[in-house]
Amino acid sequence: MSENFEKLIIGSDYEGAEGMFEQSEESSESTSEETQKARQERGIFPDAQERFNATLEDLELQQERILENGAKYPSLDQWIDHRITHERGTKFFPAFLKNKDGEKFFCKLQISENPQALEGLKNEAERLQATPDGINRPKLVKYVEPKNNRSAMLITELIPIREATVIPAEDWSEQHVADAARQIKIMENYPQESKENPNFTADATRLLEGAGDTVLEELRSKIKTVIANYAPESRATYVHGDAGLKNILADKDGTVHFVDWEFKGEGFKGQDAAKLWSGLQKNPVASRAFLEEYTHDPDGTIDEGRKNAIIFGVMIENLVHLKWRNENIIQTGKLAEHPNVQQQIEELNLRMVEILT
Amino acid sequence: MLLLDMELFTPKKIIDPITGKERIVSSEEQELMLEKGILFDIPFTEVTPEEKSPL
Repeated sequence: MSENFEKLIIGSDYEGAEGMFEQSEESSESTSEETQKARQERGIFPDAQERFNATLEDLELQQERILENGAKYPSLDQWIDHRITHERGTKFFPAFLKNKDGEKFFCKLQISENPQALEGLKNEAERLQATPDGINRPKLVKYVEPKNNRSAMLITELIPIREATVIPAEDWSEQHVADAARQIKIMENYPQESKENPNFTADATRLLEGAGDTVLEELRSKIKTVIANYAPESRATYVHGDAGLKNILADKDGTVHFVDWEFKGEGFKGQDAAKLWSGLQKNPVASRAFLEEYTHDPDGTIDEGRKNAIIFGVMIENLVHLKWRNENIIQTGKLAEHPNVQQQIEELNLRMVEILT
Repeated sequence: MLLLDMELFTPKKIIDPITGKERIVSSEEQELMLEKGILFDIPFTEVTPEEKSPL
């Protein structure tokens, strides 16, 4: 099923594809009544704060709200209302905690009945314990199972901003991209068993069909060649799953740290590399350096498998977005409602031209 | 009507400890940092909301 790619590329369903549309004007105000309604619609626990308090009490922890430098963090209720008002997701509540000795931690708290959110926390707990050696990621401190009016809670080490943080593409150095490529290669070489035995080349062919006439005619034969070249690499692969710039923290020493391990971990070769390469496009030096590092072996020879994999990955990313537009806008006759879509289709094709030629 | 569009974080100017450059950290970026478990525990100065983060 080509739907596999939609889930792998954009997290869940068509969330990411939809996000590429022009943003609607954010509501500048909402009533507490509206917020309450939104809380119910999102399945947020009415007693989320009480559950949080009870879990903290069990663990002899408390929330860290104000730092010595004056930086402030929101309460659970403030954060939920803020996210609802700005129409953002409420999959979990992020917070800093401290114990009696003043030691600080980071937590992600389950705040709703959303099964995907709970699954994400569980996945992250499992993956942080079993990440391959050589991958930089936060250490898991504890995973608290949900029970008796207690919410699930993932507790990890926190990362002080002076040690590592999210930086813009423009500030990525060649050392950072080299380290990211090194870690992605380790992940791709890590054994990954699969119950589903995916056939990514067949999925890609269906994706191309689903994108219909949104794909430039002159690209079609090239895309078919890319799919054929990818065949030897088509197997379940261990991936981070969302290796965008926002999930890779850079440090002063030129190393990088992957965070947000909530995806299941099974994907396709080239998936993480394509996502990161796409994110680095504002920095031509770094994106070229990443491509060199990812596609070359230590002895300087080109690894044709990885070269074909990253081309395939970038192509899939763009085809997913084209298919979404074809099926949900073009074929449903809604083009007039989305005047920017035609331009977006041209841009998506242009991105494929860049990687395919 | 109760306004709930509160700013949880205000834009701040910092010396980025990773790049050594001075830059603005927008409220959205601070929200992102919180979600990623990055503790914002370095000195900063408050700036106007118009000054934008490069992220």
